[in-house]
Amino acid sequence: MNMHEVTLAGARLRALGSGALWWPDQGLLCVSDLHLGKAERLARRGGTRLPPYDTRDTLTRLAADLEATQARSVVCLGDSFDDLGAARALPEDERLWITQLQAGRRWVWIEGNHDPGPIEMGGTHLAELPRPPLTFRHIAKPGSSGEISGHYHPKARIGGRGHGATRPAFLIDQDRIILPAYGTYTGGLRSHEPVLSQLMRPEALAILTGAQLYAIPMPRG
Amino acid sequence: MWQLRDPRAAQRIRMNIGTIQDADLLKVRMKRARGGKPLGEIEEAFAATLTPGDTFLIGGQIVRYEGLREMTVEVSRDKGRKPKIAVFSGTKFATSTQLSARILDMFAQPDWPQLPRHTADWLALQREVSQLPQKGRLLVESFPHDGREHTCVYGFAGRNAQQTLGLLLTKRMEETGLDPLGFVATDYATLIWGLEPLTDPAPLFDADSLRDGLDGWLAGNAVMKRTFRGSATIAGLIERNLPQSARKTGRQATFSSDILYDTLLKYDPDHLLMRITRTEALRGLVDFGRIEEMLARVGPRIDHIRLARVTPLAAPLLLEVGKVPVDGQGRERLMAEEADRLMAAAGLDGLGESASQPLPTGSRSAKNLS
Repeated sequence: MNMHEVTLAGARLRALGSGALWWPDQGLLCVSDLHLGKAERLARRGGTRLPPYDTRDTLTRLAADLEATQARSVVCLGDSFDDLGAARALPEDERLWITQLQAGRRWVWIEGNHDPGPIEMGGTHLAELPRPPLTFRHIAKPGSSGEISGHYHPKARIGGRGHGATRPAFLIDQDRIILPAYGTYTGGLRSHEPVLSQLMRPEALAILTGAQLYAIPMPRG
Repeated sequence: MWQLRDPRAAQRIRMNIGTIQDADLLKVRMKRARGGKPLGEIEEAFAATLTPGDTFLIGGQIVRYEGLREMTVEVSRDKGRKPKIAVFSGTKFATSTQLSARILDMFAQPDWPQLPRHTADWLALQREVSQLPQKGRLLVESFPHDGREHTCVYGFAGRNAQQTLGLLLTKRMEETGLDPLGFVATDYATLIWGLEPLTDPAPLFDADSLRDGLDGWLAGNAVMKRTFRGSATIAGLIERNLPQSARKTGRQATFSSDILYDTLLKYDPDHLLMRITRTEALRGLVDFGRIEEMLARVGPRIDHIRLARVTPLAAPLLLEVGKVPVDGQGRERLMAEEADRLMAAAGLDGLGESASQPLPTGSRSAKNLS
């Protein structure tokens, strides 16, 4: 598996090319911003009718990561569903698929701004999860440390002589890791944006995801 | 009786209705701290072919392309230099095969008294440093230029056929580890650039290998994705014009249509939009059978000339618009080099244990879509 090793508050972690974060010592896989049911929510709200395969694609990639890591615990860092209605409207086969992925695993749904409340699905629902030395929450809190969060959908660009690319990226410094969005239909926020530049230390790294991972100093505005 | 539930939908439909796609224009501005003065507009397709440092003429002055920022092309003044790209005249009409044949006949003359002096000098110089393309043979030149390896194939087969040839050859180059980065086609030639020098053209033109895995290669190519973007816009899946300018940057729009394309390709490859995309993209290409015929006709009569620099006949291709990027290992290599350079420049090259391993060949199309 393609990965990039990082250490946060003494915990040895691996940023995976898929955008998931793997904590081998705890057998814990963390993913953020799945936005399951996004196509359904957009259509329901009168927006564009996008091809309704996003949930299937997101779950396919999640299943592959679970298979590769044999994770015992899964933490979904919030915005797992595009809204609570999308969680309820999930087709039966996709709901069943999630149940199958949960079988034999400890599964935590962290609340996000898109899904702020209990959903009718197995697993534990928490506002945040302390797992010393780390804390898992949806939105980063300035001043905290050992923090794993999502929410911002960070992305970053590598130039490469006119042939570069922008890709979803992990943002990492000595206090925190911000995960890229894992969901198929999710856009990104450039690390240049003030909110990310202020949150991350000057020496922060961006780790671009994909078939190969690339670590660069976090691009700033 | 059907009616719209949401009046905003009516506004969106009015702003996007119609099936004739106008070329998207981008504003050109001087790069300054607080937004420089606007100089004019250029077509988005033209802007997409520019690389930082390219110079062109707009608003009566020569400017240097700096970058694209929030739907605006940022340029700086470039005094005392000739523009690299003299003029952008849009898409061109294809020359006929008869005209191509006459040009090749003309190339066979010992000299060209009927041509203007500069054109005759240009052809003479080509003959001196390399050779002129001949009927029944295929001239292939390869040379380094601007830090990249270039291969120029003079098929004289018309732009559509040369475009198809570009797709076929870059597939073979990717397979044989030449790490192509992109190509551009004109009526008379295809120019391909990449990271590794071409030493032997024979494996590239091997008829059996040209077709192998072609469908997958085509499906992942930028030509398809660009075409899909057009069809998806007409279908209303992607909106070009949004109230209050919800469209922030051009690159973002391209990115999201790529995600939709990849998703449909995976889960609904025969979706109407995908069928339209294939039909439409193939219209700009020629039948692969015709390329195979052409190569069969040429057979082993391929003249490969290795040169130290760009040749007179290949030079105009460097300025051609309509470059097609190739998304393969070459691009990954450049990104890896650039990442290392950035880390070293920041004094961080000892940091961050990287256990990155390349995936086995074949899985490289399994890109991260999120």
